[in-house]
Amino acid sequence: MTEDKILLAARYIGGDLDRAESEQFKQKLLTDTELQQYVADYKRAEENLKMHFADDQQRDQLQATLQKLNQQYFAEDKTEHKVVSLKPYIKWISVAAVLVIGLFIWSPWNNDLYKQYANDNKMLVTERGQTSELDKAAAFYNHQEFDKAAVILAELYKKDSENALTAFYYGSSLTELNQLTKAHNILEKLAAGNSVYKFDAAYTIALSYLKNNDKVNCKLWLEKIPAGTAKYEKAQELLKKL
Amino acid sequence: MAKKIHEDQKYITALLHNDTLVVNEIYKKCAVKVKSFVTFNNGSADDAADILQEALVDIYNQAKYKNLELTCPFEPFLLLVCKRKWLNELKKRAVLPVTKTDDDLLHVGEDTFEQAEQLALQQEQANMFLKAFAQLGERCKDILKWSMKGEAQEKVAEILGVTYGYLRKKKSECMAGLIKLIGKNHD
Repeated sequence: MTEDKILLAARYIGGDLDRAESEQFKQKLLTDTELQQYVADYKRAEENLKMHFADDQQRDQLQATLQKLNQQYFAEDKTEHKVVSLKPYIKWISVAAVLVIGLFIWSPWNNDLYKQYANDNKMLVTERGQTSELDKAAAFYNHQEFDKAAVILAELYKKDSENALTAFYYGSSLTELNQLTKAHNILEKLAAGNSVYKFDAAYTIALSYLKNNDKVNCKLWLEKIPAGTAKYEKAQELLKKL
Repeated sequence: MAKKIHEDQKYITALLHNDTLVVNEIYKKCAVKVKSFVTFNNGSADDAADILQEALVDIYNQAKYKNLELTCPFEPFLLLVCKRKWLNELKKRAVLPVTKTDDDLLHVGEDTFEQAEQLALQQEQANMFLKAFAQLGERCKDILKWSMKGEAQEKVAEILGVTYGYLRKKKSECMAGLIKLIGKNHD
């Protein structure tokens, strides 16, 4: 098959030939068996591709109908479970299950509260002129690799202890790493200051106490967070639970 | 020799037009039978639902894109298609079927077997084309996929950012490539 013939056949099948061309093609088709075969193959290929790729809304609608009918005709099986009498041992298992569920609701361990309320701040470095070290620290911090983040942040903090951003995330990392005395030093300074991290620092300190089951100090710090600040709602919620 | 179209072609027409009442009739007649066959053969009710849905969509596809015309009664045809599908699925899952399949098929006519066989062959052919399509270059795949969606070809050219003439030429080349691949894969 020549390239010309291939294109001509495609145009013929696509209805893209003018009348004269079309007549001419039909004449050729009568005697050219290779061309006949090609036209047949082309049509078959097109059918099969269309079956796969056509945007067929009718088919989508049919599928929806079938799905509905499936639920109607096949789903009732699931409700046909046999009724089984409660054997004594099942009773005891039920009692045990209720106890376990109760234990979960009561949840005497407070670590879960910590996890639930832990600082989920993402460290965002968007200010201009930041060093790439800070970017690196942010990446570690956001991947919860606090040990690695702390190393870099310690350096930056040493250079510029007045930078609130560095201070806050350094303090937060230390909290996560349970180096609480150091963390508190840094964060308390922030909380006493006037930076944007003032109340985030207070919240982080509160949670660090919660982590160590010191509810009194936790409450004390939560109460320092005033209404209208970002952490207020979470702080109040947590206060109620304590 | 062309065979006479069976009056049950109406069921196929109903599938093509999403005629809910008639499709519901199909379920009323066949759902229980498909379910009992599948569940008796290591399947669940969900499996049965999937098989019936798949079979009906296959029939729709072939009626719409390949002019399937029914020359046998619909119900035994559909049931046979479902059975074959489920037996294939069991083969895939490497489970041996337990049913003596032939017993309940004794009264199924020769023409029904033939039509079910035809459907399976066409389905196989469709898969073969899909496989060959996957072997084409990315550009050809794009062009063919878009060309088959059902949009006007001028619009397709616009979407792909080419001229109509270029699209036409390229498409015919891609189709020729696909046809060649089918020939090769077939040998």
